[in-house]
Amino acid sequence: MKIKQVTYIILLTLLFTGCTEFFAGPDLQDNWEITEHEKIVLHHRPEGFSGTESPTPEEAATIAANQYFYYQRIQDSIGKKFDDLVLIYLFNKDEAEEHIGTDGGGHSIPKFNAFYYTFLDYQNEFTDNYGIVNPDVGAHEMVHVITHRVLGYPATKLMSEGYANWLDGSYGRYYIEDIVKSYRDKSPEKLLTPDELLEAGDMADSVYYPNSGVFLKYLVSRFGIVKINSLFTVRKENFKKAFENTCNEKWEVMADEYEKYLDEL
Amino acid sequence: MIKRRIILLLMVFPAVVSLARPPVEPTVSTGFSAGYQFHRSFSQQKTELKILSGYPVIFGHMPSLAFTHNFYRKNSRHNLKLRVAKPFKLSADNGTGRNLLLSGEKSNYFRSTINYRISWPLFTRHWLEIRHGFTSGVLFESREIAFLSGSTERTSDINLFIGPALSANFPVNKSLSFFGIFDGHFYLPYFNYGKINTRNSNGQLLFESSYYGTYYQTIFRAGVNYRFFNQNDISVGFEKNDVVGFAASKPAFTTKGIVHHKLDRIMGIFVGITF
Repeated sequence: MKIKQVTYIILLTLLFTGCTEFFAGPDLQDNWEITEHEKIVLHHRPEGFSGTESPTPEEAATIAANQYFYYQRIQDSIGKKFDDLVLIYLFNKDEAEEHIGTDGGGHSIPKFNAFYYTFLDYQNEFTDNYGIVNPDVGAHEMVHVITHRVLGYPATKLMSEGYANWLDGSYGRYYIEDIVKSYRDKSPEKLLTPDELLEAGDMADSVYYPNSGVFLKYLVSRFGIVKINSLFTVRKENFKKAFENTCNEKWEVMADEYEKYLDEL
Repeated sequence: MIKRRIILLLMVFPAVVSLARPPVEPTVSTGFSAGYQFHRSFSQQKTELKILSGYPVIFGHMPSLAFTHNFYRKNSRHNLKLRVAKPFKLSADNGTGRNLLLSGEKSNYFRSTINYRISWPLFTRHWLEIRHGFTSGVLFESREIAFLSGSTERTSDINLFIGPALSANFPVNKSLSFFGIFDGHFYLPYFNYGKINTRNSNGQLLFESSYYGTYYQTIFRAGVNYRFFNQNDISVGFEKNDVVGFAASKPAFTTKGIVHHKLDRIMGIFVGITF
């Protein structure tokens, strides 16, 4: 066969196989150390893997133990049982942006009982709502995994992020109540009403997340977890009606009550 | 219900393939092919573009069977193909070769496609023929993943697709030729339908929803074809099949309310014969 023919074949092969590769492609990372604790399987980079720190074996053991603690407490809080392993993939800070799209946190894939996160060397001292001092990985993504698996796939950002922020209790290592109080006192335009939270328009996570967490905490404390769980998969257009049927209260009345709650927070 | 309808469709339709034929060949041919494929469903490791697929991965080794029917009208070539594939079992890989997700014996996957392809000559030389055209058809997929705890997620969907088709044929001599085929499939949420349900380890229904997917799929096949007795072909080759996209509980192109995703790759080999 002529060289020209071979060249054509190679060029066409590259062209044809490359199409989905423009916007999606495999990134199969397989260099992991594994630390297990009960239902938690923590995948983390070996020491010296990259330019930023990997967790030491002691740190990895602590992260896994803390995650298992969240795993149990989340189930207690939502009153549902979950019994599968959760797979955590912890990327080093200098590689996380490339592999998972952020180097300041992570995201979950509940369908596969997994989440991805960045190993961060936090500077500010912080004790979370569960009494864990300086947690390297919080409860947020674990909440997504468990709630999506036992309550279903949420149809609103309010339910998805509201549960995660309520049960984590913090955003950026500050308590969500403190953030919302600060918004109330210094930046009232960042205080979101139930309608705005349900609509979930284009707004910063730093505004939406704390507001949604405080609102979910309020809903659960007023109406109980069983009723609020039943709203988890309700679509936005049906949400107010479903809320009123489930909680036996007008949406507008609840919104007024929530405003008072925020005033007294 | 969807499965029953699809099986009926499969029985009614004839089916496909085999390119690698010179353009002025006669008329009608029918064939069969068998394949062995490695199917992987990836986790969405990076959700922004460029999307990255990673571990954990659900995978299965699956045999496939296809029935093909080809016919020619002047310059146009028509291919119909029916294909079914089912893995022996599903398993998962966490990135270190361990299955920490699935109960393989209780997990299932099945896929079948009906594919129609029409193409016309685009570029022809004595050593190269390139054809272009369109492809359309139906993809049916059904998957049940049983987690280690005994909880399950079942998805079934039927999807119409349409897209561009391109093929190249490189004759070496009268009997031997190499070929390459590219198909792009667009799946629009208004032309497909799926059902998802999840159950806990006691079998109680936890979640149920319909879904409508937005996917893009590329299929590349390449191989070698040998003609014998002047009219029969035997072909051997490999295939790479990628699909990426998401499905929401209402037909839409936005990523809100996602209940399912496809981030799958199938790679395999096949051998086919046409008469």
